[in-house]
Amino acid sequence: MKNILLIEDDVLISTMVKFRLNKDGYNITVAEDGNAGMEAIRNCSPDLIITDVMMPFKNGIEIINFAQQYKPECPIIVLSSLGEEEATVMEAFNLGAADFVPKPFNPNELAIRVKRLIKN
Amino acid sequence: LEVNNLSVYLKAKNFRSMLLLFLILAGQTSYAQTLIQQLRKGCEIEGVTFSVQVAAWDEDPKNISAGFILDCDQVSCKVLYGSYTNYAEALNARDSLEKIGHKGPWVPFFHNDKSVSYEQIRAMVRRQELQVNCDPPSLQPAGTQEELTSSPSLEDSVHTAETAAFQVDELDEESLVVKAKSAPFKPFYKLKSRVMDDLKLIILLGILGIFILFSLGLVVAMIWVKRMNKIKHVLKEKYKAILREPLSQLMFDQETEDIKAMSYEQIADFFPKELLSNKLFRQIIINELISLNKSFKGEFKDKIKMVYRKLNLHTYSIGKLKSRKWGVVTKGLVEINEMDLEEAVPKINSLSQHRNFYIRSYAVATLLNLSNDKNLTYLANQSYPLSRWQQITYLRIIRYLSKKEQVKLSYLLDSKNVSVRIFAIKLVNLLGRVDLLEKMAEIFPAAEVAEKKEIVRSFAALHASSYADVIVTCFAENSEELKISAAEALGILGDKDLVPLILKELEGEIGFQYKMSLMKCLKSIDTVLYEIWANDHLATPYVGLIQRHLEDRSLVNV
Repeated sequence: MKNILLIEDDVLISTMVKFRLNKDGYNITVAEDGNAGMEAIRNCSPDLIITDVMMPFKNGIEIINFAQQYKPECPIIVLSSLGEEEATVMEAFNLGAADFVPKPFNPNELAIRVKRLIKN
Repeated sequence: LEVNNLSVYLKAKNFRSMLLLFLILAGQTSYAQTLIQQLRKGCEIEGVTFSVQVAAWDEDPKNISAGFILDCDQVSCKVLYGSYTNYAEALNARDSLEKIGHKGPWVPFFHNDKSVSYEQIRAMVRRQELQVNCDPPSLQPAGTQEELTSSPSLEDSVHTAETAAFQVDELDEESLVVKAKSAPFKPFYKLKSRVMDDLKLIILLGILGIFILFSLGLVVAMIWVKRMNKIKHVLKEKYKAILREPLSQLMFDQETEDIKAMSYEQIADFFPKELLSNKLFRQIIINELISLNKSFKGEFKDKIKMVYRKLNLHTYSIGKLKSRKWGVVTKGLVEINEMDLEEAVPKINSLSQHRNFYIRSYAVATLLNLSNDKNLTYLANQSYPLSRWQQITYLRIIRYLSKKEQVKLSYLLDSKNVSVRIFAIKLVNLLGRVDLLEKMAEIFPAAEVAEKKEIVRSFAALHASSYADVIVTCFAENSEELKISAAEALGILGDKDLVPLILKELEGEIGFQYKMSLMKCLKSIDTVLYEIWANDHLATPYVGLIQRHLEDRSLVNV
């Protein structure tokens, strides 16, 4: 069973995404802020990371940076609102993010992207 | 002693003296007071002498000042000054020593040259071992002998106090206390005055009491509100946690068609039934559904709206429009807007002219999303001026709507509200509605200066060269701001046919800003002509200055 780390401070969204991805047979670990996310990257060796950009303590860019050091082989999906600065999105890609899903998003579409990245 | 004098004295003395008065009053006996009183008045006791002691040492101090006597025993050495049979004289000597700088001299008692305490003397007098003689040759006028008996009664003392012409200020505290104690109580204040004073005190205490009660009430209210908020917060978190699972099931386990076919009871089965009637729980469901609606798209939006309607939550949202609290009404408007409750449009229409700024703004924003009125009459008929914040909010919505279909703005251009007309002109400019240029040219002659400025800017922004003749009419206006806008617009349009008109304007006596706009305009239309004209008119005020300014690249936009 593949491990997915979901770093999202909105508990409702993280619950929904977790519920949806559980249905596809993934094991989901949820971290509610940047610090918890970094801790989880160190401890639970995820196969894929889904991260929000705007979060308490550490933002998504810092998470990507950190993940690239500890788990460079782990693909990262950035989940964020369209209101984010374009520069932030570009930075995320430059740092090694594999995909970007803008909010509002379709959970089924996210599940397809996850499936594709994990397969690769 | 006059009791009134005592009161005056007490008033004048500080708190320490009053405290001392009460302490002494509590501890003294009337007999003791009488003896010391007698001694102070000059009575003498056979065999008893008084001296003034200024110091005492454990060892012989060797050197002492002249006039002082050294009295040493096995324990210590005392420095004494004089020996008196009269206590009053000893007190005077003590005071004299104090005046010349000796600190804290006191008067010890001696019986047969042996140091004794006052209590011992008093005891001996009581036992009649010693006799008090109040008739020494040097003291007391005739007639006071009777008063100064060896063991006078309290009444005698009172009598003495009343008749003796003492000056209160000259008395020391101890004797004052003695006299105060022996005087019968007689209130200083007359009845009326005392009542009035008490009344003031009562009022003061009342105000203080009310203040303390009010403060306590506030503290209690704050604690209560804080506690209630905490309870509410805990409940909210609890309800949110309860909702996550059923909402996830509805979103991902049920198809859109399944939810569409479900009844209220079937949807309600996903949630704890006892909580569905709870107002707070209902509000949390609404909040969570709106939050999901903002985060999800596609079929999930439809599912969310269906669940919302099936649970009859739309009735609560619409019901909020009746609230007297503007915060509740705006919340209702946001919910209606998010959940596309078109049936609420008639009610929202009436709120679009509400006197409350926020209600009015949210109502118009909601109508822009939900109303089928393509003429935007609810916006055109606004009687209140539009603020910048409102304009930005409405612009964002109208820009979004105009991607789907063209929004009719012509009705807005005919609005009676100037701010609405100006907003409409800005919309024409920002949405690139060239189809409304003709309409703007029509309203231009009757428009106000602010509108004209906006129209001129729009013509320039949309490069409407065919309306240059409309812009030119601004040169005949009195407003310099409008003329400057017109010159800037003509510079952007770059119509060479207008050069003679610009040159004619430049020939006139005009201000610095306007002249600079015209020269800038001329420069952008025909640079060569501008150079020639500027060089020919260097002697004209400002021309040289403006020329240098326009040629300086760093100042090009200044």
